[in-house]
Amino acid sequence: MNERTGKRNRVRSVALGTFSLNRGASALSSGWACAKVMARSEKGGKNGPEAVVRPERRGHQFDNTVSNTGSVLVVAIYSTRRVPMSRSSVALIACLVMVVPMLFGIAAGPRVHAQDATPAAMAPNTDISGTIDVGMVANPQMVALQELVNAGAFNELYPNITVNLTVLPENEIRQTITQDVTTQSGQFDVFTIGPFEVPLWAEQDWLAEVGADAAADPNYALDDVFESMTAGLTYDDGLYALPFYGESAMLFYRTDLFADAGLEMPERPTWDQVAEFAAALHSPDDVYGMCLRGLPGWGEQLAPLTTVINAFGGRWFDENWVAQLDSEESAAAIRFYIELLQNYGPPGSDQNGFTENQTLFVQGRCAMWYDATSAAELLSDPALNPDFNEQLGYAYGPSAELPTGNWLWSWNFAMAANSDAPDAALAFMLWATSRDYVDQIVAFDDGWGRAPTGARASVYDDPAYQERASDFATIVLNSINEANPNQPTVDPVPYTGGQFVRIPEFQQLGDDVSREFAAAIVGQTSVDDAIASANDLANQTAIEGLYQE
Amino acid sequence: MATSSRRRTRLTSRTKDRASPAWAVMAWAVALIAFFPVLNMVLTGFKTEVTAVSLPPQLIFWPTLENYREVLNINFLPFFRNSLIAALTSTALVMVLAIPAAYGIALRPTKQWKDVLFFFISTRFLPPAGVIVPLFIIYREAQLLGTIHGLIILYTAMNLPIAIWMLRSFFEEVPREIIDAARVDGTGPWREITQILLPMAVPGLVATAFISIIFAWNEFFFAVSLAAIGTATVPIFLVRFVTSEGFFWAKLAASSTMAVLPIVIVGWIAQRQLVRGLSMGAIK
Amino acid sequence: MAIADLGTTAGAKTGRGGWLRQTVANQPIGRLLLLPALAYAILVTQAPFLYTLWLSFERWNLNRPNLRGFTGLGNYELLLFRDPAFWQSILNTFIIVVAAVVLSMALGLFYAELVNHKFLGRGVVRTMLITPFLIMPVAAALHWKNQMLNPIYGVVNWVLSIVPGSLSPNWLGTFPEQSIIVVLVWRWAPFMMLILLAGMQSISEETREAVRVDGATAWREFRDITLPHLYRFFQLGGLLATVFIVQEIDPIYMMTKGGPGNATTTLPYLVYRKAIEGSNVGLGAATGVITVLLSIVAITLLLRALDRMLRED
Repeated sequence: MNERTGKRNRVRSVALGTFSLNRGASALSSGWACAKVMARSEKGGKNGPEAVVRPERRGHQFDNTVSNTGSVLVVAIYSTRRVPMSRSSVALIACLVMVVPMLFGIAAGPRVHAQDATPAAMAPNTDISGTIDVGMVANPQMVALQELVNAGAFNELYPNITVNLTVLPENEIRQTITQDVTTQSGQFDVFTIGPFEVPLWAEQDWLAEVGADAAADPNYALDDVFESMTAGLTYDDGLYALPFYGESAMLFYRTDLFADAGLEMPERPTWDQVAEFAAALHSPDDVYGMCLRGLPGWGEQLAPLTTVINAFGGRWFDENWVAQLDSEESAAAIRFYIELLQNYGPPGSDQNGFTENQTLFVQGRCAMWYDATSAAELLSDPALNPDFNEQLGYAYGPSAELPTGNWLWSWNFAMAANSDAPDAALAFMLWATSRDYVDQIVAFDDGWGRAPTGARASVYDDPAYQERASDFATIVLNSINEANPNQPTVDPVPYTGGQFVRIPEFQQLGDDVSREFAAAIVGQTSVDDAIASANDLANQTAIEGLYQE
Repeated sequence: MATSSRRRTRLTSRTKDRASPAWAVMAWAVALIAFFPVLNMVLTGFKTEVTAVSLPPQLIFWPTLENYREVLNINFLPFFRNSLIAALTSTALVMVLAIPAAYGIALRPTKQWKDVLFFFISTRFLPPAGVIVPLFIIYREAQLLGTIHGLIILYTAMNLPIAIWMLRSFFEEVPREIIDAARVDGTGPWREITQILLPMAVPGLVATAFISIIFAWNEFFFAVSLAAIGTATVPIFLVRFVTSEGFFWAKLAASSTMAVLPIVIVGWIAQRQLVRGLSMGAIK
Repeated sequence: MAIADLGTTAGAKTGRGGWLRQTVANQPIGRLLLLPALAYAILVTQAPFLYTLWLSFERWNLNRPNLRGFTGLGNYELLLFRDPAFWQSILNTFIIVVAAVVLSMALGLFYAELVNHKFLGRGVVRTMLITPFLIMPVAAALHWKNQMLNPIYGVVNWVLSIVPGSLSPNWLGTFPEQSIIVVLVWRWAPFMMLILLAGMQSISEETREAVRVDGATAWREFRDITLPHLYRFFQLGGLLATVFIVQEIDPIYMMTKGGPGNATTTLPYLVYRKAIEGSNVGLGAATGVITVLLSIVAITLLLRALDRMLRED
């Protein structure tokens, strides 16, 4: 993924290679012995089972459970040896069971620590101890964090805290965390969640308040964190999560295509202009005029689409929780979005989320792409975008009635209220979301590609970051500061949230509604029908959730 | 069909009619088409992320081990070990439970044996998603969340019906004369099973065990819902590269290859047993 | 049915006073041997199912714990009368399962006939044909979605583009059900092949010789000898494949998420959507209960066919 990381990995792997050579060789040799035995037993040879026993004796040095399983199977071989038919297959299982533990030996080999994890700025804290389970979304920034933790960076500061990381894709980790927290099962101490959940879960007493501790720590500098971010993580004056990285939305475009077509992208385009550009630049076999998310899901398709609805002057619900998706403004926005994709989008738009659009853009298939500002970090990285990073232009998220769609998202660390190691959990959260962490990961990667940005102002003051991000840093910073998820629409609404509606039922509602829109994108239903069913679904949700009177 | 001829039937039974070259060409073509997705997956694992999406799909390219290096950085082995323990232990349990049950149904049938068999099959109809929250709560109380035991318990229940079904068929295959002769000699059920039935039904036992291992190894939903925190198995290792922020087809292919490799190899070697084993009950 | 059975089998003859010993002594050995497996299956599968049944009468959204409470048939009423996705998912389940089972059988038969003849590299061909069944469903689904069926980067559309004037459809958007069925068939045809191959090989060489002496063509040999002989094997394969394919949600989850719209939402996947994606435990439980009931009805019909086969034993 990242050239710099690649190099380091190579060094580590070479070291790992030497450690494993011996064990690997013995695994190989006994594997070979097994293969010979099987070959012989296939022919009905007599000394098959006897030969298999030899590696079994070695089994004692391995993990107990596994070698026990092995013995069971060896017994199985003996008990069946009078039957020539299947000896080879039984031997096969036995061989697998025996060779595999030797491979585990590799894992048990000495751990190789990265040489260059940044030296700790503070003295190690041995007062706090405990084991914490941390669940994280498998986004590149969290994967980097995982690598840094595995390299020992956190334990240099807190040698007595054991951190178990579970890193899964967004869908799976969301499901796991939701189950765990809502049933109060207490498996996780710390987890990544978005501003959508934080106030809702805080209201249920599922999260621990962390603002007081963060404010009390002078090294942490809570006032360095963007207020727009903490605002979404606040419930009843308490701060219930700490932002790791944050994002708003912006427009990416290809400067070369615009130059060739004699077009000029304003710094703050309107959606009408964007549609004109898309029409002018669309050439289906080569470059698609506009890339947008069509993949169903409240966090996928509905994020950009809801900001378009906001910008057009539409809204999900009026103040009495009557659905407004079929209002003139909302319907116009939805139709605009779907038709933009149908006319100037790539084929299969209904399957394209963030990742797919990023891929298309990196491959040079998108003239424009409207999405999260965090994409700027990835697209501007020559290692991730080798062919088109020089032709990359940035603009503010397009406007209509409103100057901005009010997209604001952050990935945050929160602590379960029932954590049995709150001190250790807090120490981890503070470390992961600190300014020091940003420096550590930049040093670790020797670059900014996977550093968490958009959460702390001081990152934008860093000369090194300014140099790297000069083309987009200002746009990102202003977009984050201008977004107002607490008043996201032209007309008043009873909910908060920029690219979502902050009610627990929105996960299901958003999922169902975005399905209808996806069906409209591929032409399986008409746009009007999709809007009508979406509106019905929204009303039904409001009634069942006891919002609507 | 008589037992003797069954024993004789092997995969090489039709030795006399050698197919025409056209037949061979067609068979190879069909096989290559069916196999292509697998081949493509393996090859992609050795490509860079950029060549992975280039078209036409490159069959000849300079292979890179970069993906494997990156994937192995996650430390594949704990996942592998968890999967191995879950698959082998649950299979062992399945066999322990299924052998007496299948014996009972096949050779000591009571009046309701058919109902019982149908009951076992009907347990396979519970949609995992429907019981996942109840299971989650039960597991929370039983302290089974995030443990390998929790998975083993479920995989055993999951594979028990098919195992009983298959083993019953195999036991039916054992010639009744042999069993009747043993019973006349006063052999008890225990010795009847261990000394007569099992040795004669070894291909069936092996096939049943393989099927059970395959399904347990490949199971995703329970693993991700109940055990991902603590004892993650290989399918969970795999989805690690299905990320919402980043583009990792080559790494996904590399981790897929590693995830499927053990079962594919076992399956390749065991195909003879699988052919004989899955359908013994229908040969009669 | 599931619940009724346990009454007749396990607890029929319980009396008072030393009942345990008495019962054990009175039981036929066949019943005793069944008990461990039966007890295990009841404990592990029926206990959660009973809990699910109970939860299906509750209003319980994990994210709204303060609204939790008994709602009677509320969830069922919601599903049956106010949720268009429900009826569509029943239809989808029927179409996808029937199509996948039938096509797997047809393709499996073709595979089996291919490798039932001797030719150079037959073992390799058989190995290649079996492999899709061994591939982890999650891995297979992801690979199909990304590298085979992607409308821009997919191999399938690239192959089609070689043919002049052809289309390059957006498979998962325009033909979602067909795409899911293709992946299911790709995975389950080898399974059917394994079953049918064994059937073909149990045809004795003498039988085949006999028709060949009469000058029968290869096609007539296949039609008159092979196919009739395979009848029971088709039944067996059909039953097993149905049981497995009904529950298969990995490809749907990974490839289409049940969409576009509700086009590929099957009943088990609808359960997932309600219970997990929507965190609506009560509604998910009700969907699950209906799924089990419908499955049992369907399988009873299937088993009636199978019953004939068992009666001949």
